[in-house]
Amino acid sequence: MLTVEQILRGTSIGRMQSVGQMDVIPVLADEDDESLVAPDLRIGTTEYGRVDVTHLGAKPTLVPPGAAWIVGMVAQDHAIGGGVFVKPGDTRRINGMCVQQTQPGLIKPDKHPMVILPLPLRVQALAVRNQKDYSQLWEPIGRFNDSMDVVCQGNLCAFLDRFKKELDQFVAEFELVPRQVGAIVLVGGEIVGVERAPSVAFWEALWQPLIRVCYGAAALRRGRQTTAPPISRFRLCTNVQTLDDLENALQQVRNCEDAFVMDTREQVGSLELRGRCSFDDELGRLRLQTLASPLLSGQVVLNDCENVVYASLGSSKAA
Amino acid sequence: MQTVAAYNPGQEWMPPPSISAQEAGKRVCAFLDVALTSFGRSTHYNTQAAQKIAETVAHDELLALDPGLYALLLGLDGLTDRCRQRGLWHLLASQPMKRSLPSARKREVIEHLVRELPPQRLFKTFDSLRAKSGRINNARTRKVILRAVLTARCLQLWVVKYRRKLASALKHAWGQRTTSYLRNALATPLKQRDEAQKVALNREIGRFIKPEDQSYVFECVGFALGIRDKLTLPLLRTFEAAKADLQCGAGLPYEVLEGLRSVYHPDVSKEETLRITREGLTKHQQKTFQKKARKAGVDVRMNARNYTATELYLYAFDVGLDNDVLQALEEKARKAAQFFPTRYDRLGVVIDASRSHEGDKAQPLRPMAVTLATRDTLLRVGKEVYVGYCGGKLENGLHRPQGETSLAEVLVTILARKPEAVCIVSDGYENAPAGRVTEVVRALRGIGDTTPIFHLNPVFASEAGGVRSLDESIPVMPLRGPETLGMSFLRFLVEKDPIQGINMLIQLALRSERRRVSC
Repeated sequence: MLTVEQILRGTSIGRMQSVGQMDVIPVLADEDDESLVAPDLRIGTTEYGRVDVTHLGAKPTLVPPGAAWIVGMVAQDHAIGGGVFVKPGDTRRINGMCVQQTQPGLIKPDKHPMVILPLPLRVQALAVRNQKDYSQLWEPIGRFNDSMDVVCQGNLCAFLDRFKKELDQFVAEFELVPRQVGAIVLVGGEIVGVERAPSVAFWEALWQPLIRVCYGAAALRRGRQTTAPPISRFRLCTNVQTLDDLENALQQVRNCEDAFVMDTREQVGSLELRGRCSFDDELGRLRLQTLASPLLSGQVVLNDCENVVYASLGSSKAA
Repeated sequence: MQTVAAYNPGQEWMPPPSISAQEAGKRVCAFLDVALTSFGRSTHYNTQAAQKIAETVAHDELLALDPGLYALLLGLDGLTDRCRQRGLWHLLASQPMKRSLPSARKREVIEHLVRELPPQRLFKTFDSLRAKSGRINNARTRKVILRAVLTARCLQLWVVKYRRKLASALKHAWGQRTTSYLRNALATPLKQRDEAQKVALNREIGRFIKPEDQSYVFECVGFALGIRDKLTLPLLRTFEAAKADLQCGAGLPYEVLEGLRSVYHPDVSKEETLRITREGLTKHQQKTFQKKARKAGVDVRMNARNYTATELYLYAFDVGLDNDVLQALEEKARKAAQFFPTRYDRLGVVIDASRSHEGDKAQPLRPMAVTLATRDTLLRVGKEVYVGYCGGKLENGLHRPQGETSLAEVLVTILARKPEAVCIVSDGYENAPAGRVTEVVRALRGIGDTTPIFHLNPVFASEAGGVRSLDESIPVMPLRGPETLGMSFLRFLVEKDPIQGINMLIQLALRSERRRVSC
């Protein structure tokens, strides 16, 4: 069992950024952990439901859980459910799922850009990560597309094409801050994700795939359900008489936001997650474990000192 | 309706009856946003594809409003080369222009654009005309290409530096058969050319040029088409000589000699190319090669006064600030301030130095460079100027972008100094939290504070179809650099009073034209 507090040990939090339905609380660290480097991957497929991943970096990496490759060629896009360690120069064949039902064809090996599956699909993909069925995400994708009024069965690219502009905007609106190695993500005022990377560089590589598709999709879905601002949004008191009053009002609303951030940190910190005794993957001192709780589920990487160097937890309720 | 096509300076320009003044203003503003801030590359926020789509819409909509106005505004000073390039393409390729603009007027504008565009952009435009389905190849386009190439002041340099693109442009204009025929004619010694060859050379080349330039142009065109013997022009002979001995290549452009080195002398180091060509480097190369030159121990001189303030800040981000650059920045700021439309006793300036001002890999740190250059100018348009920074980190005298965007707090701090006006320089993306500036402005106006607030935006946002606004009550103006601040403020006027603003823009464009003609 692990608590989120343990997962975030050694980090602090930064100022919350809020746009629309999404809030991002940066997780900061003073030092990087050098055990894993950001993924620098060449991927391809030689059969449906299996992804061949070659790591081109100089040190080991973790292919993050929920990684997906939406390629521009005539080939079926693929995703993986659980994360996988890859040594430098090594190739691993990973159990995966097709995310483009109506497109046949194999992916030619190349450095295809990576995304992280939309949150609801990421959680489902993790749950079925060990099952060998390349079509198992088609129905969930179809349901997800339906929920977004995208009429295209099990093709994730249909959603990505339809909402390209909106998803690009998430990347524009949220900024990385110095020493950032992760984030606590809220959508609609509720915690939907806790992320921690081993280093600033690793986080910078994951940031866009996470914010754009994984959490961006959740924010988009929420935005279609309601236009009301989330409870994490504090309004400035505009009923002021002087500029001094306005300055005080700004300070007050800032205090409220900071207090909300601290409360959120405390609330999420107390969450307990449980996992099996066995690990999903191991590499030297590092172990990859799947954890779950009623609120969050995902995977973490622990080192031999039982410190968490990587975590990616998404809302279990998102599916 | 008074259109620009038949413009009478005594009368006011009005939009066509089917388009309202507001709509006309909106289209002109979108065009100005593109013309001043879009470079057709990806930004921190948008992909290149998204930028291109938004640009196309802005050009098309202004063109549909009034082709004459479109053509006239292309002559404004301070537009990006990319905007001029698109404009040239439209003038040559688009149907509406053919219908609504007198030929003489169209020719004037085309000639201006051809003169202003750097050769790479010119050839790219010709390439895109060739590549467009249906191959735009009317008589006007052919004449434009031939005139542009054959009368180029630097034709000898062009055939050495851009020989493939130049050859491709000529083939587009002449067609493959005529090009082959002309090549054979040019390869034939003068005394042995038959009458048909002479007529063809005169028809396809001679009629565009002065008689005294004929042998020069013939040799250049021949070189571009692959003729390498009996060369008399110095640069062409140097090109050939450098194939055998790289040291003979002094006088050639760096990239040309580097190309010859990689093919004919691969065992010679790249640093040797730099050493040989250092006296002939372009302004841009003098700046961008500084690091490379220092590493190679090659002395490459650059004169900081040859660059815009934005270019100097980009250079400083890469290499560092030195006294020469600082002095040049000071001079440029003073000069740009002279053209600022007004002066203040007390001016407030809010600088967005958040992470998004890092720009994108395609244009790293450009938004920050424009912001700092503009700040320097604004520092000189008020007796007292109060500057506040949102985010950023001061490192070796330079503000480097970092952190989130919380402009509202800085704005209120600046307002406490009671300025007469406030300029916010920001890309318009606010996230700590979004909308806080709107709340602050609403509160301000509620307490009766009417301090004018302007927003200068150095980044084109494709999802906004222009520059992104912080709040609908704050006029936002596209910002290319301090040199075009006047134009940015005119955009504000167009938004506030479209007819007056557009007419002022027309006057500005006509003044630019008259100045060019008198030169």
